[in-house]
Amino acid sequence: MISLRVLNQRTQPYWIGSLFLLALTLLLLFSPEVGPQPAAAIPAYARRYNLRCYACHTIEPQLNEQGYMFKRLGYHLPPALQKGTLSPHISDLVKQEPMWTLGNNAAFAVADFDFAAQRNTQDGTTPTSTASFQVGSWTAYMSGWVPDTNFYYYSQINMIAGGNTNPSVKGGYFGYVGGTASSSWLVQGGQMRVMGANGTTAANTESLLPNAPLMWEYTDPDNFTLDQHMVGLRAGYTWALPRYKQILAASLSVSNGDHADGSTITGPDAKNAKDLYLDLDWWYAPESGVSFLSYYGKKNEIQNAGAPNQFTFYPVIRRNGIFANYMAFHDRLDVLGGFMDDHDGYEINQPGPANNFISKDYYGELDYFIVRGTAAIVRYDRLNQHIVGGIGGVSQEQPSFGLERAFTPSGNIVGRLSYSNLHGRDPIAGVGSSSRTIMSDVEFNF
Amino acid sequence: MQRKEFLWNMAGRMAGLLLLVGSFGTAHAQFGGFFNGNKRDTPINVSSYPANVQQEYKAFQHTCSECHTLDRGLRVTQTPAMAKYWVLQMQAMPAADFNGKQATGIIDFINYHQSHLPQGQQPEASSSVTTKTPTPTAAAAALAGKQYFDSAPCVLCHTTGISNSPKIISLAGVGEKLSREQMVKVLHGGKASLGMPAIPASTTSKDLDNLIAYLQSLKGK
Repeated sequence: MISLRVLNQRTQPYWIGSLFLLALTLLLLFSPEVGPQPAAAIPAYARRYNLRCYACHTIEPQLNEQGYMFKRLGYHLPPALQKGTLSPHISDLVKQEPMWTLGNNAAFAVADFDFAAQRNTQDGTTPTSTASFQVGSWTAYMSGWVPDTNFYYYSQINMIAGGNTNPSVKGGYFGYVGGTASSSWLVQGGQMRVMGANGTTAANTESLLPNAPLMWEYTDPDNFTLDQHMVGLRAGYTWALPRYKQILAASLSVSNGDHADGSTITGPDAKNAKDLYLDLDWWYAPESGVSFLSYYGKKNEIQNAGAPNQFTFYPVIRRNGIFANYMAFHDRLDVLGGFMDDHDGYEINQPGPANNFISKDYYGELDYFIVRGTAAIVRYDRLNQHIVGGIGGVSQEQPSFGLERAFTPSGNIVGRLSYSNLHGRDPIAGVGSSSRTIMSDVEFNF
Repeated sequence: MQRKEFLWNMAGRMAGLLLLVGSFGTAHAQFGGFFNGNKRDTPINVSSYPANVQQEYKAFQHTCSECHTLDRGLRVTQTPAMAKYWVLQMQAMPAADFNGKQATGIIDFINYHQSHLPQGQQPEASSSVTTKTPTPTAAAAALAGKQYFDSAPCVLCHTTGISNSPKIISLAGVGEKLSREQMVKVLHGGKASLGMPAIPASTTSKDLDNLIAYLQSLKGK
């Protein structure tokens, strides 16, 4: 582990961690003189155009409409689209880019230092408490445009992830974008994240909370998680009205996806598991939009691994969801919500009947931006699940509350504090469990 | 701990440390100079302005500082025509969240502010630029602009030509041919038909002013 890690998974009384966390967070959130000072180094894209992070993010890392278009136009800043004037070609945008330098195409470190205190309970076991302060993540990015061409590229190297030092490439692709700023198309290939910032705000895994939302990250009985990195091809089309009053975008990905247990397929595999992912986005007002997504994947799942009754089956996994947000009161209040229908193949024993895992997932969220760069967040996730022929319906719920504040004028250093209470029963055995987590982190983007 | 695991662990720590130190050093050297997004906005004293202009200032402050520092919107030599051009351009960006009425208010504020700047800092009418004898300040700005021009890729095509090939576009007399507004438009928008890129978006307002002062000083054939 990296030497900066001070304490990891050390068990101690729950309240000590909570008190320490509270003091630290209050100090950071409400005392600007004590918090991190403006940094000389900042992220690549902001450096390239000499813009603040808020140009493309509500609060980093959540993308706003401009950030979304920046990504759709192959990492070029969307130009002004005036009514009655010709929309510039992407090749014109390429010519207007500043000189290519490593400095404006690489973010050397996006580091996250976090503190988490957790209280876990499970039916029939003794409750446990843990507290840890660690370098939660450290990621280096290299992305931008290939000089004098319409090609773009992206690569992400995780030095530390989940508190563990394990350097690995987590995403890397090349793409080509053509057309004009108001009617563009793209194709890209490589390892891409399914859900990461590809939809409108409500359909985005990058929420304002420090911990990932339950709806995207939960693992189903097949050990499948929707938020994953797939190796494949993506094609997309984007259409924008003058002044970007409305944006319509569609993307279709075909990938040689992950195993059902989440491990990435990058080499030969006994079962060639294909994924199809469709994403339709409609931005209908500044920072407000609707997204529809549909996922289809066929996996090979090894059940009861290592046990005498181990067997392999090939579940079909489906996700269909609709998500929307409305930003009201001049970017003050963001109202978000979404619904997703899960329908996965599942087998308990073999030989035995092929069953299905079914889940109806909902979430609602309110983000109140007190001032620019400071937000209060309330979110509620609920999953209503059952396995056909199984124990019957169960549910999992996770209410979350959070505060987020940027410490610099540009918004490249942010602190977050959250409380969440994940509780419910698992759909296989019906065992009840809960996990109450208080989390605080400071994220540096430079 | 296994020996192999220990070695990998140590290698990871060393690589991480090197990257951290290297990134701080490189970042400070390369980026600290031109990024001013973390610069706090210089406060403008609007207490003596009429109440409605003070309200317009609030809209300007809230809207424009979202993406960049306010000095980028308050270039001291901004003429009313340029102010209008740029505010309408900004309104047509995806991040813009202000309507036509607010845009008018922002333009009004910029114009009011510009017209109430101390003598010598007010914008000059473009028509008078070419006939005016350069003041010592303008000469200094033109000199600084020449230095910026020489250090930028502009010289590759405009002075010696790429690899000493003939010049593509001569800038002789450009100070008489183009108004300040036209120069700003070309510098910011480039000329796609000629393959001329726009100046980097990171160019500071001072560099831009100096560059224009230099171009305005280029007269005659």
